[in-house]
Amino acid sequence: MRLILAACATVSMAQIRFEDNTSKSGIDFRLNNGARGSLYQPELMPGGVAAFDFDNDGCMDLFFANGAELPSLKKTGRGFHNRLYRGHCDFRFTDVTARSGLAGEGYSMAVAAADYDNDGFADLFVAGVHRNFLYRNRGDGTFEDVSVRAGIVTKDGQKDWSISAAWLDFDRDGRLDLFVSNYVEWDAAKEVPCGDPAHRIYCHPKSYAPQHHRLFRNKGEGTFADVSRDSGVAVSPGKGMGVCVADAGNDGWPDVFVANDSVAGQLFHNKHGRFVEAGLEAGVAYPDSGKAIAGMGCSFRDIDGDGRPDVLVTGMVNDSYLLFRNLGRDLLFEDFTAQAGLARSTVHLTGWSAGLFDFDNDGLVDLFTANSHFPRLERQMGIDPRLANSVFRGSSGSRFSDVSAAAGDLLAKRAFFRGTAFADFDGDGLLDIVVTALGERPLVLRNVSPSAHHWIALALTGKSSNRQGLGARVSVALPGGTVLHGYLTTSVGYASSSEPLLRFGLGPHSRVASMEIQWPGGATQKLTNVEADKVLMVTER
Amino acid sequence: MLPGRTIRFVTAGICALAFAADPLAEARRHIDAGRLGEARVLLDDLRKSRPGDPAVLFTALVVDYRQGSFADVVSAVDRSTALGANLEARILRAAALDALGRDEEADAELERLLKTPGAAARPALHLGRGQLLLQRGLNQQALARFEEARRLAPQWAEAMMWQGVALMKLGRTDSAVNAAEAAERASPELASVHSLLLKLYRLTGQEESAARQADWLRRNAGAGQ
Repeated sequence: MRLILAACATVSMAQIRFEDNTSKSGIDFRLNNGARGSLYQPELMPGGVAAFDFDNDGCMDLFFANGAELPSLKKTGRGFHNRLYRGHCDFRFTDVTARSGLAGEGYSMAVAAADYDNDGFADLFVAGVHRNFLYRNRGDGTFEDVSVRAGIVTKDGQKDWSISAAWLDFDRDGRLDLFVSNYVEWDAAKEVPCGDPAHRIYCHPKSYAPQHHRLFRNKGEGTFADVSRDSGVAVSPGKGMGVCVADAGNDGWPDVFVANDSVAGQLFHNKHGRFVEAGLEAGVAYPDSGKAIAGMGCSFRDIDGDGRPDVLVTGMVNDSYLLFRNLGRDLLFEDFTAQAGLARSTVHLTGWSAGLFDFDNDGLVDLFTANSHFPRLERQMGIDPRLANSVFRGSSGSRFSDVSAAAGDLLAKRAFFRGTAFADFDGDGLLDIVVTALGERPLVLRNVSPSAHHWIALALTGKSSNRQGLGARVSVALPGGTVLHGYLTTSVGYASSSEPLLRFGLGPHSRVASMEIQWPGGATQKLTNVEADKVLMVTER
Repeated sequence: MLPGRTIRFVTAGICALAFAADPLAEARRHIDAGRLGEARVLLDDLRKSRPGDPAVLFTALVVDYRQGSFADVVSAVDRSTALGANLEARILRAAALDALGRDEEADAELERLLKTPGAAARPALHLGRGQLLLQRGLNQQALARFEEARRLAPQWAEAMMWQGVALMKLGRTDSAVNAAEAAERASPELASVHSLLLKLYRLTGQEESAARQADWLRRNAGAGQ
């Protein structure tokens, strides 16, 4: 009887499906962490991926951050190069790295894409171990390294090991600023062995001192100021991994959540351009157990339709992936993990990247997580540390059900998965996913969910606001009275960057009754009776 | 890097075990100090010199569990008649099943154990069971377990704290505050209690008290600790 019920449940929940487009994609990139048995800590952490349209042809392109030789931290061959692939809107990609000038230097970890100079072309920030890079898109298919000229090379003595980054307009001056999450003090020469002498393992983060994060204020004319200290960001060091942005306080000012590894999660509350770290007070520092988790990736999005962004954080086995529900008063969240059904379904997982998106366009937010235990733990755990990824389908009541088993054969593939980029690569209105994996080619997951649901996506162009409208809050009213809420950010998951669009699943509704856009600069714009199933271009008035 | 939650809830009773033979006592000291590799070497020798010795087998099981070798724990207990008859070993097996995601088997084993006289009197087992129930959102059932743990160990701060968590989840915030404040009095250094009190004070609008808890946590359990 149990088997029959399980089978029925599978059929009724099988709305989300992905198919493998890796082999057809033309992507031959292989994430190389430089591991050669010495167990250097950076080997665990790469690598990010960005979905962005660098040539403005309407097709999403892909950039992959790659490792380097250790301990030199040098890209000693093509196998360590970062890679740029031009998309053709049909899941085929062409490697254009050589022409683009993006092969890179150093040990790259993460990527954040955005048009920081408001020239209409998306630029790239590439974070790494002890060195970060800013590449300006010249608009002709090539990029120039402007790191020094732009002022993102730091001078205060901290050798940043940067894991993730987010573009946001924290001071609402119309120019995108840059928040960089930093991990720990690391020096290859001081790396100490950990674990059983006969079977070494990677060290616990407690073996390393924390670093403070960075905030770079965009001064205009292509230059930045390191305002980490003046803004309040540097006051609270962490062991930063994923970084996510949303207006948690619904006051128009973007706040920043940082998932920290084995120390308290942080919420940098933006008080009119100055940050106060309020993770403890907001209730997102720890789960109800009061124990810090090994926070990895995050996704900051309204899951229950109340217009307030909630936070999901992936963690390590026995942590569970935490879901903090925004209660909407005085910046206060509750640990909603168990109520959402995620405590049991994720307690045996270790997760890296994650994304709260509506994959079947039914109007309810779903969850994708890129999973893997740590390498070298097979002996301790008695199980294969490589894991399959997970898809959790959202239902009413903000509950998430694990539908991975019915989501396609590729979801069963096990690897050391890391970063994810979420984007619609073929323009069919269903959100696709690219997932990186240590030592392997990325998974290219085409969303083939058998959905008759409608959708709409917004591509914003700011005028007084930043050009891409990052930080815009949009509410979409459906004919039945349901209101959906979104916040435009490219910083989702772990070390990665997703499409710069705001996407809504509309369920059975082929039209949007009304739509309100609150631009990051403060202006409000309303649209009524909008046809669904298209990318709607909206320019700030 | 190794999981900690389930390890904590079953090892409280294990640590009380005494070992008569010196090599075992030394292995135990290694375990207590977290030197699992050294303990493993001693135990491998002991298994050769004293094959089938239940105390040796059980101590090796503890090392397996502490190393996160959960599958080995399950198979060792299932293989060995001596371990299968050992309450502590069965508790470890149930916790290992839980850690492996084999929920139904873990549930069945824990419920069975909680009906045995030896286990029913152990507060740590009730606490662990309550935590698993809480994970499923079965807050009222979890509360009953935490209350039983507290009845069995009236001064155990962790039982009071988890009682407070369950009460908070049930919306009984005043009772939750009482339980958490009792936990703070019983164990003022337990950071998780301060974290719970901070949440509860914020929920109940006691902002000054909340600020004091946040200060405590920043001073004593801040980033990098």
